[in-house]
Amino acid sequence: MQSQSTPSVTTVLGIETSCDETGVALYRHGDGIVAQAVHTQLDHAKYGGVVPELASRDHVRKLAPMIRQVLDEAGCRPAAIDAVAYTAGPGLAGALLVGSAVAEGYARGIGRPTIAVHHMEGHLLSPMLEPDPPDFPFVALLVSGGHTMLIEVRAPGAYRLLGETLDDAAGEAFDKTARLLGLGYPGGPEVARLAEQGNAERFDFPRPMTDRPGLDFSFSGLKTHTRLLIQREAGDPQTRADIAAGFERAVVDTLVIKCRRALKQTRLDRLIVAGGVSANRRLRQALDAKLAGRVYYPPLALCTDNGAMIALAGWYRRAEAGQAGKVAVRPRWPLDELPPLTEAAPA
Amino acid sequence: MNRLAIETAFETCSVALDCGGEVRSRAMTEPRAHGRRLLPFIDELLAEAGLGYPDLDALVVDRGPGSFTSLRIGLGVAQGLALAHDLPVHPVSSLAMIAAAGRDPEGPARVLAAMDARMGEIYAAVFRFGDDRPVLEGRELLCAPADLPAVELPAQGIGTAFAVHAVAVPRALVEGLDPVRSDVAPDASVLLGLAAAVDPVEAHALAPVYLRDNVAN
Repeated sequence: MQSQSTPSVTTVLGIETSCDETGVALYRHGDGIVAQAVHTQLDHAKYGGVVPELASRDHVRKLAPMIRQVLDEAGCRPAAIDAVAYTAGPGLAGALLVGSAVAEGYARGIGRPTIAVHHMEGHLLSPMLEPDPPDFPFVALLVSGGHTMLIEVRAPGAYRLLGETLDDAAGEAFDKTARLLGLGYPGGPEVARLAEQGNAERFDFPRPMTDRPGLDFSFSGLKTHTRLLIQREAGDPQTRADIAAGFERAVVDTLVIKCRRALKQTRLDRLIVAGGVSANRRLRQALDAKLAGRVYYPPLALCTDNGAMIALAGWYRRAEAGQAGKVAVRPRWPLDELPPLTEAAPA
Repeated sequence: MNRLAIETAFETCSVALDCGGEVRSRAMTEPRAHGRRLLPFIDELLAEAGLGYPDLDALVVDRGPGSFTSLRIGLGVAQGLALAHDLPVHPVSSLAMIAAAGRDPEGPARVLAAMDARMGEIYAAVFRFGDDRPVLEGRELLCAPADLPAVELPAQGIGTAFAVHAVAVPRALVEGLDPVRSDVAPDASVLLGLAAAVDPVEAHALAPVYLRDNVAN
């Protein structure tokens, strides 16, 4: 049995299976990410969204070969791994369970502890993997197909949820709008491409929840507005492009307004933007132009779900490494229920 | 030769350890408890036998059909263990396991195994036992109770479907079966006995057999 505190943990295998990306990475403190692999499931495209059972099935197919591949690439023997970190939540229960089962089995087999990682903490700490990481504290905007939230990050382990979506995630709104416009999945890049040819001024779109105080988001009303607009106006390609442009601008404006408010409220001047939607070019332009502070965009490989951020978060959480001996997950795991880090993380 | 068998296809979580011919096992029937029971069971059996994980030579796992989530818990743990020590894994059919666990050895050699698959359906397969080994006749299938295919008689009927779907299963079919047993418990030690007939695979090639593939809605 490993003791509660394992300061000797330097090499962590990270496993991510919370949604539709299978991610595996090996992190070695001092060297960073030594090897990694990410597989993005494409089967969901024809359904316009992630089908949980299909996601679980794909994780089972991909995870074991990817672990082997990453360890081979890193030239890492199992004995050199100090702990196995995996995403325990939040996410799809069945998908999370695949990661938990394989991780617990593998860790048991090699006689090492496991670390149950909070998916969001992975995202929040992922900028630390960059060559020029931002200093703490900062505000993080996580904006993807599954999440839209603003979080104040004082230090590793010290997070405060400032606001989040009350219904659809921003990326989900993009996906659904893409579907309504007859575009492919994931919808973000498709809508953005169509919006290039559109006039964002032609139709009025709401900027949900910007007319009242607070940092929460809501995108379902915008989605309904867009659906009705498409039903009423649909038809020629130019109209569709105009709707795409108007919708995109409404989302971008809403995100920018809330980010500006979050920086003001926390009196911070650094914003990290992570998640798949952070790839949106007009969002980046607007944030750069309209915010007073500095905006960091981790590389897209770190923005989407991946094993590297889970391995890193596992390393930060190494004091929690243990032999729970359970395949268990927390599909709903509020960020504020995450315990503080018990030891200061060296820079 | 030390072999570990993992059974999680249905509501029973069962583990068996064959340590040079001496078999120990654990089982617990409790819905959604596989994740909590599985590794502690394995730990206990290894400790009792005075073995560690590196002493294992092979794994045997129930590869389904069965409950998707519990199946993946067992298979995932097996994959993890197999990866850690490059262990070969024998994937055994859950229906073969049920047939072997529940059949009357004195009864007919042919067995119709039929397990409740929820959603008003049944997982079914016909096996013919020779030298105590089941040979699959035809293929494993997922069907409505009324569509359960006819079986060449004499034959036995084994599995929960004969109780759960007693009303819906064709009466003519059931009346030809003898004996019929529905109270059969999944058992990992039965998997041990069936492993030799199944070629082992590496961890990465281990895949569940779901039979139910229309899952997108």
